Amino acid sequence: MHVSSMRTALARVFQIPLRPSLRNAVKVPSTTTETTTSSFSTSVTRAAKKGKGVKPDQRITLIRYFLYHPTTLTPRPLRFSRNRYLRHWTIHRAWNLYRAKVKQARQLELERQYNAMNAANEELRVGAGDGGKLFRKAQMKTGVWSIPERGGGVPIEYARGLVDWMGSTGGLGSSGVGLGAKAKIWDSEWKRS
Amino acid sequence: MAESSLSLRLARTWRSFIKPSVCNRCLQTRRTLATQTTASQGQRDADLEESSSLAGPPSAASRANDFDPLRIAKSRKRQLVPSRYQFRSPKYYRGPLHPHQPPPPSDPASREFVPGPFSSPRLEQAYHNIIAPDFMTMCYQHTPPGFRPSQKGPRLRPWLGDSPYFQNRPLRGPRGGDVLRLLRKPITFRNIPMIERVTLHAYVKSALTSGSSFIHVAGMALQAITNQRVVIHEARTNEASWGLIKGKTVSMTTDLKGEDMYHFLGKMINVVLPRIKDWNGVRATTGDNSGNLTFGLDPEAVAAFPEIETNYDAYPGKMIPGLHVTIHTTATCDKDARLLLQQIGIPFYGKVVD
Repeated sequence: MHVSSMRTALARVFQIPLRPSLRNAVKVPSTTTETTTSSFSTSVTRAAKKGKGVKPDQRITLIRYFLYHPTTLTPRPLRFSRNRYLRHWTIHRAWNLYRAKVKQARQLELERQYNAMNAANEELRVGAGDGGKLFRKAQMKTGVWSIPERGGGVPIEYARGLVDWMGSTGGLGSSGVGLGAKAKIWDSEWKRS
Repeated sequence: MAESSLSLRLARTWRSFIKPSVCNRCLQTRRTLATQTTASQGQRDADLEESSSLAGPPSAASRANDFDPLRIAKSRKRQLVPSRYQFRSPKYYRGPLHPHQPPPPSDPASREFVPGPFSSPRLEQAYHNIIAPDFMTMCYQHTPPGFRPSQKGPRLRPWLGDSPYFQNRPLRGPRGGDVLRLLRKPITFRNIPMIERVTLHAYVKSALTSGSSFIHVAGMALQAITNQRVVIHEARTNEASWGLIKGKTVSMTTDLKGEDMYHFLGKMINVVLPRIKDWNGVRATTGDNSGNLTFGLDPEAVAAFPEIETNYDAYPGKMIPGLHVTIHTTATCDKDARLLLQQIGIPFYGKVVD
């Protein structure tokens, strides 16, 4: 309390706006009478002017406080001692090696699949004995780049497998009441109004 | 068959006659049972070590007696490098020729060092295990062995004619317009499109009229959603009909890559998009002809992101911004990008133009 009053006094002397600190941001409205007095005039601020000034939303003040808090700026670079640096370097190289291996494995797997597809299509074209009819059927790309609405493309259920784990409530209990009802992801009762 | 093998064998024997299998030098050094060893029994070879490596190490007690760290330290000519890493990386990059170069970004002492990744997003795993192979299969175009596609002429044609003005003139522009479109190559296992980055853009119109609070709240909302600091943009020109004033802050963007991008996409596709009421999907004609698709989210949809929804009271409701989401893919045409996004789970509607 003492510090903040000193800060306000100093701010008044130097005619600078008070820095928005957290204590000021969540300050109770009783202290506002102190700050409304001007350094040049001892008279109380006029009532009309007081009514006009819109008090900013407390939430905005808080958002500004946290958005521009010094801890959100670029931190200073990390300094490691020798052993710790070497440890970090070893792990970094191992991680890069692992990532390269994973990438290579994926690439090889795709190549294997592609070659298998190629061989199968070639067999279908030459060795199926139907004059290549099956092959031509297999090569038709009708509707591949279309959308489900137009009778092609990828159905929306294709990606549904990725969300099955979430359940209808995002894992927040039963869908009947409480938190589960709030977190319901798909409202099947909803009707177009 | 028999003839050829016979001739082959003949040739082999002839070669062995011409060129003996053991060279002269080896013959000189080789000792047979008949020849005597030159060295006498008592003499040792100079190269051999005196002590056997099979004997055990010196005992612990003798090693402890011999160990004198003070003597070692005094006998050292130079001072050891201090344990702490004393190098201060330059604050600004001053070009490739400057002697004071910053460390690579992988170095923790670098100012660009970003720790992580800390998770492997579900969408990324799905892409590599399911989506990419399926995409390759869907777009597979068979070419018989020996097939050669017909050669096309150059895309930028030279000026042909007798006119003296055609000499040294730059090539003619592309046919049918000013834009040289990207080429689409057949999809193989090497060029399956993937999502490169996601750009979020929020145009905060109210910031022009009613102060900076809209910008701050929108920046905080975006930061909460994306785990990234936003980049603020100013208006570049005056535009009276939109109320734009040159130099005033109007919008913000965030570029997402890697882990953050996959987390954002996962949240958006699985949690936010299904809950938008009366939403048909993304218009199928979206895109910039080179595989980057854009769509918009209104403020209600942005408020449905789990980070904002759980903490909704902390934001002034009317100040939550709408978003433009641009998904940059490595596909070179829109139809491939659309197919990829359909596989990921983004619905499309309307006319299809390719």
